Amino acid sequence: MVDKVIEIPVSVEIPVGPQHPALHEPVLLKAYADGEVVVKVEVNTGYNHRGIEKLLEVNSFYKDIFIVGRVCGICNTVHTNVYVRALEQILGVEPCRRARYLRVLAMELERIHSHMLINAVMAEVIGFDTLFMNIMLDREKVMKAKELLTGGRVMADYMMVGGVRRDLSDEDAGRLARIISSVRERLEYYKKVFEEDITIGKRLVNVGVLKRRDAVSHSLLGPVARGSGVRIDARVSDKYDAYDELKPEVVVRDEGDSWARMMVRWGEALISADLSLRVLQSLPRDCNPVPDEKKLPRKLPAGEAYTRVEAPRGELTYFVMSDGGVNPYRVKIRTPSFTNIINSAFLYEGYTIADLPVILASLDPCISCMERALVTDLKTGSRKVIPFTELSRGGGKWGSRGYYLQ
Amino acid sequence: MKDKGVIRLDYFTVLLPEEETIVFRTTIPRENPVIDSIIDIVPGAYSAELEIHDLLGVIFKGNEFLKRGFFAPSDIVESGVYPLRRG
Repeated sequence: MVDKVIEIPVSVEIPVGPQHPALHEPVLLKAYADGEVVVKVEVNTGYNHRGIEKLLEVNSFYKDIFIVGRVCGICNTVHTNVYVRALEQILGVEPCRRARYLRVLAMELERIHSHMLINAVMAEVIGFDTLFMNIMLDREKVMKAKELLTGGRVMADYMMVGGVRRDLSDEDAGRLARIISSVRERLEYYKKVFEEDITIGKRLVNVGVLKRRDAVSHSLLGPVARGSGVRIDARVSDKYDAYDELKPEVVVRDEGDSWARMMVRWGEALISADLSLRVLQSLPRDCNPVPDEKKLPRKLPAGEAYTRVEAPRGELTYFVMSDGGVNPYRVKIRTPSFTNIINSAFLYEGYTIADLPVILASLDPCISCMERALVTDLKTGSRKVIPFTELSRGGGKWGSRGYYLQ
Repeated sequence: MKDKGVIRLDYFTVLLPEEETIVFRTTIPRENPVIDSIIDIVPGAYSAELEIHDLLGVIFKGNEFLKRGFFAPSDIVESGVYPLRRG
């Protein structure tokens, strides 16, 4: 019999999408627990709605390239890439091969650092702080590589209609290759740690198991779907930019638990590193990848474009509609986190409260700050705010059986 | 679509395993924007239907989770404005 319901609104900072845009995005998970077992989770949104889609409608097509880059800090390159490709479809512009290869390089570097970040966060959530520090240290190398390529460590603003914003010199290409090779060794090491460490296995294996059928019917995307045996990757199916020539391998695992999702990310990061090295070795020299923006028309012809990109968190789609004016008539952005976080409330049911942050982190919600949980005792009506990480570690007053109030 | 007095709904569907994208396109009148929900067939439409209801005011018949304030702040909800509607 359920005689006590503990309501735990967990306040974390995640980017769910342009509707609640950008990096530091609070979402509320209301978890209802029977003892320690979570029986229901509600996802509440709308805490950081910036109205980016409305903003895009009142700015010109070219200004919007910079606005969509600000939708999400971690994956700004893929956002600008997918938007710029939509504009290119409407305009009928085709970037040259060198530009397409450089775009792929920027996006793959972004994938490596994004996957490293969430794996580091996962290590921190399960109480493995040393691993968190180590992964973040090595992630800095990737950020440096991204700075060499795009000029910006985080915000790249690298994509332009018809090409990229700056070319890569041979000297910098050599430096990039050296950095990526050294990062690749570390990625292999971290993958081994996640495979063999007993503590990580105990916290992640068989936690938040997602069946293949549920992943498909709830429209879950990216590494979450691929960790449940769904072979979906826009890079392979859409073959945008240079992916038709580079043919990336798709990592799919069948286990469907949190561990499988993290292992998919390590596998993908390794493949991205290989892909980046291949791009640097076979960088074409067919043209100047930096187009002259002044030659582009101010008004775009009337038309619609729908583009997909494989962002680090899954498939990101843009729908751009032009009515022949200076500004777009409508831009619809559908980010992968939007479906992965909001549609996955069923995933937490049946697991303990200590598993809740693990499952949430395995969905890659980009937790970037100190998270807090609010535990309410309905009998006394008292409320206490406790750190999210303390809750996840299962230690102290709130862990284990400490707050089993019977 | 303000000239024609309609709201256009596009359902972008990706079919596995080939990942073919199929678009189902329909229009509903602006004065009475009601359409049947597809949440019973595709549970993944949950987030999209909630978002469209909040920002454009389309009512999806059969979706019991529909609510204002999913994204829009409370003052916008109280004034009864649908932020993304044109005209």
